Amino acid sequence: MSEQQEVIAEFGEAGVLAGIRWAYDSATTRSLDTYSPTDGHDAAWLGMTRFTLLRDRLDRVFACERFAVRSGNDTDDIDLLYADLSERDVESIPALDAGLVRRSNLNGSPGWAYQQWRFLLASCVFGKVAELPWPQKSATKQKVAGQRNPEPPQPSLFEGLALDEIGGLEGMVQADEDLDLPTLVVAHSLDPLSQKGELVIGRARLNSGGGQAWDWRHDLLSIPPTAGGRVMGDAPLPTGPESVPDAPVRLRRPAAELRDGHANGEQ
Amino acid sequence: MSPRTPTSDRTADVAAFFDGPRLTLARHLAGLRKSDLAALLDKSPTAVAAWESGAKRPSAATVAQLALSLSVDPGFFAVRPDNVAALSTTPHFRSLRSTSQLARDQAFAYGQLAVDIASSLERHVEFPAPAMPNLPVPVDDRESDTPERAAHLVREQWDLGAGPIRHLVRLVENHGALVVFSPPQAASVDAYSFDSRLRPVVVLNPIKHDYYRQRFDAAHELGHLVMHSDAEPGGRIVEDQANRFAAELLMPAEQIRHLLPTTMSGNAWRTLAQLKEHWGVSIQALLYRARWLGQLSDVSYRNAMTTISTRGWRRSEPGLVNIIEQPSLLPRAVELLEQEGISEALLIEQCRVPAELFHTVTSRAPKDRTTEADVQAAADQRLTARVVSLLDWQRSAASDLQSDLGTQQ
Repeated sequence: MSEQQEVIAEFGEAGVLAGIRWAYDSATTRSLDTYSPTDGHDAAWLGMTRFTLLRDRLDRVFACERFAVRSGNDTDDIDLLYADLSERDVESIPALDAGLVRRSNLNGSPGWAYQQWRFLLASCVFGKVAELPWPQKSATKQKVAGQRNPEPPQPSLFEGLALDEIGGLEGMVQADEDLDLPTLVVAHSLDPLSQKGELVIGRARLNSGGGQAWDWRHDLLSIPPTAGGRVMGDAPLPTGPESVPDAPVRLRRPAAELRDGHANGEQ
Repeated sequence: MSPRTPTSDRTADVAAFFDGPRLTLARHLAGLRKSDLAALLDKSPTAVAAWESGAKRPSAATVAQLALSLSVDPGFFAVRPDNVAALSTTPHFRSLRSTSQLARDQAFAYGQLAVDIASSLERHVEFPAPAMPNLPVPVDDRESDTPERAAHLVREQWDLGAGPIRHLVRLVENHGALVVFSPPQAASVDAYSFDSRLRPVVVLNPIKHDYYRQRFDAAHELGHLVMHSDAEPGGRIVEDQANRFAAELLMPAEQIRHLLPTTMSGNAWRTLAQLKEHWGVSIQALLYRARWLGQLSDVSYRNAMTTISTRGWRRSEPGLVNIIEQPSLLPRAVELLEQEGISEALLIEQCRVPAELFHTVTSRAPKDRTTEADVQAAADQRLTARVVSLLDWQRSAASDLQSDLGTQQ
């Protein structure tokens, strides 16, 4: 299974993708509601507000930081969780278990982690998510984009070298580039005029000197919006067709006989 | 030994054991009319017709020429223990009007070839015994609930219990039906099915990379096998019956009715997304089901379908499962025999079919070459009604033969 399939399946099943989607919807709606060019707000104001709200909403939906469940009982902390949220936000917030996603910052850049993956936030100009210029972003983002792709699409430069040499080189490269957790990026954008936005999760690829900005990315706005509760409810998810065993096929007679049959010219 | 001798010998042998229906099969696979083939050979269409019907026997040189023109090995024309084609029912093709006779003949020939290969492998391995329930439905029956009853019959006879069906292709295979993917060149023909002397056959379309829609296709074809083994294929009513069967099999009314949304407001989309994953069917199938069962009004249904279109979901709906169900019978047989030291090459020789077609028939997944270009080619094919030969891979082999003939003549 590719990393993308794995991440999307695992994050999807646990409700993490729905959580991110909700946080984005809530943050962008609130930013646009409050945004008033006539009151002196500009693009910078909108970007900063969106960032702050998105961080806040992610902490809410994943019960992190201020919204960490302290009483040991989810419902006791609900007032704080719902404070200042719109009615629609309250209705639609996915109910995820506290502790499912933990806060995991990287060099001061807010991050969240689920299982072995971390994700950071990156904003961009609307329509440009596919070509995010990582070299122009912060050092942390550059480091994230510079991670080794666990499944390089092309043969490595070192193909053809002796195995131990490759091992050594890989070790060296890894030590330099690998972070404590494989780190993904949730990139988001918003156009105040059309009120359209983008939201993707993926593995960033350092595109110094041009080239692809992502090894893979998944559009989170293409999934139907959730309207509250756990994304998949209690219904068991399909296990995927590959977990079902083959239909039973048995040999009729020993192989030697098969070969003899052919040798005898049997048709 | 000169490499030319075996070919010439084989050609002479085959001329003695030439089988007309095998020529028809090869011609259909190549997507040719009798007159097309006659023109290629510079012979009359009457001669081709006579070879095919068995009224006349082609000479060794003609057999070689036929093999060359059709890109098959001369052995392809040799007589078989039984003529699979004559013992199969006519397949049920959807959208008969948009599928040309040539394309249908080709698709059916491919299906027969699959049966032929299965039959050849079955001399070495044992597949599950066919156990297809049978509940014939009259072809003009629009009113009765027989398609739904047929679906219940399947659930009952196959002991499926309540809830979603986990793996439809495997279910059908476990009950003795053969499931194969068609080659990408034939992708303009939708999934189809037919019954053969050996076992029922379902041929899936290779370019629908959609788990949910593929399951519905498989259920639809199962419906034909259960209800229409005797029916004339292709009618609108018969297709509707198969769709109703599929809907009831995958989403039994009494189990799903109360779960379906009754309006498209509030949680409706989320509910649909949940149901989609749980039952393994598309949101569009669920919406249609909701309307059919009277849960959703016509207006809500129409609006929902507009939303589906606007989001571009008609072609590609979001969903969590992105691996399609894969057939296992033939691939497993080949794997098993390889473990026993019977190489694929030997099996291909025993089956006497072009190697590429053998691979396509016995593979778990559609060929890698099924790409956007294939999808486009399939669309073009639909427009131009042009049928591409399934035997084209053999070009290099054919030119070898040609050099053989050059020295022979």
